[in-house]
This record gives sequence, structure tokens and C-alpha cells, in this order.
Amino acid sequence: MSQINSNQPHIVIEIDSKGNLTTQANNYLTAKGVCAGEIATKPFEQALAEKKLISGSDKPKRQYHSANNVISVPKQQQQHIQQ
Amino acid sequence: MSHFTSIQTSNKLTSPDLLVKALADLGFKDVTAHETPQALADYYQVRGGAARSTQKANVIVPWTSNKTRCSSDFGYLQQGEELLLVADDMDGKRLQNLSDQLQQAYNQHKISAMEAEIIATATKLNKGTPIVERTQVDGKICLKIAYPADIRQQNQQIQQQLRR
Repeated sequence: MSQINSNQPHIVIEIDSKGNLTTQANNYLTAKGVCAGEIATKPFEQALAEKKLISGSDKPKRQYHSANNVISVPKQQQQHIQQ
Repeated sequence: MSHFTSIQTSNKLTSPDLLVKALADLGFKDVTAHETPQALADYYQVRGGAARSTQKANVIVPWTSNKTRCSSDFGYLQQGEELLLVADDMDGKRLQNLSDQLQQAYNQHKISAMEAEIIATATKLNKGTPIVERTQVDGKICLKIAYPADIRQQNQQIQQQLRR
């Protein structure tokens, strides 16, 4: 039985049979235009940056899900948030 | 005439170290990874003759470990971010048939490496030990991660909303 309730904030990383990788941060609320999913995926991003497990064309696609919609964070905004 | 060629596959392979592990899972022994490409032994060389090829690769599968399947060494050459299969043209079809199995083995190692890194990094950042669940359906591997701190925060928010 799953320990993670689908309504709880969680990150999903999927790799399909062809090796395509996607990540999603689910149930993270947005606040002041900044998506909390950004903060949640930080350890994941850092792990990738430090160990370079995935790079280039393999870079994960990032989508942030709030309760009813999908929010895409533009690259520029991502950089701004990280600063 | 036997010669090395780049062989098109649907594989997405980027990490030499993970590729070495995946190849080992498929039964290829003594596979090596090199930062600088090294020479592959061609059809003639493995049979005691002089090499007729100067083909190099970053990941090398020696003929001694693959001779039931191939006619010489084969390898993977780093091209940009990806590792591309380089093999004798006579072995192309046989190795293409292995590509799905290889990708699956590679994906398992990739997800395991990511899981280990996520746990280590979360601990380092004092985010607590995450709950990690791994499932696999039809070749797709799914890793679900939840941080206890995030769940606590959500519970607090729900309780605040209920009080209002």
C-alpha cells in the first residue's frame, strides 16, 4: 500500500521504456507567483547538478501542478527564483 | 569487408558508468569506461592480425566477453551528450535487437542512482528523510518522493483553513 497520499505534496519522476525522463511536483500551492514546487524539487535539481547523472537532451521536463491546473515556469523565471 | 560503423538505435544513454552496469546486467564482462576515447580492436586484430581500423570509443565491450554474439569489440562513443553505438557492420542487427533490453537495464540503474542521490541530498539539506516509492508498469519506472516537512506544512495550512 502506498505511503504517499495522492493529495499530499510529492514529486514524481518517471522514466519510460525509451529512456525519456519527466518530473512533476504535485499539490504544491503557488504563492506570490513563485511555485512551491520549485523549492520541493531543489534537492533533486542539486543532485543532478552535482553528480551530472542526466544532462543535455535528457534534462527533465518540469511541470508544476497545483490543485486544478498545470503551471509551467519559464526558464528566465526559474533562474530568477534560484537567485 | 569488415569495418566499424555507427549504428542507429533508439537508446538514450548518457552516463558511461551507468552504461557499464547495464551492459554487465546483459552478460557483457570486463566492460570499461574511458574519459578519452580508446581504440576498439577490430575483426582482424582480435584474430591475431594487424588492425585495419582506428575507431575509438568511450565505453568498450571487449571481444573476449561478447564473441558469442559479435565479431569484434564494440563500444559507445560520446557524441555531445549521448553515447552512440559503434560496432562492426556485421554485428549491427544483433546489437540493435539488444537495444530495448539495454535501455531497460540502464533505466533501472539511472533511477537507482537518482534515488540514492535524492535521499543523500535531502538529508544534507536537512529536509528530513524522504518517503520514496518505486513502481514499474510496462517498462515505465515511476519514483514518487514526499518530504515529511512538506506534508506537515500542508496539514498546518488545512488546519488553519478549517479554523477560519
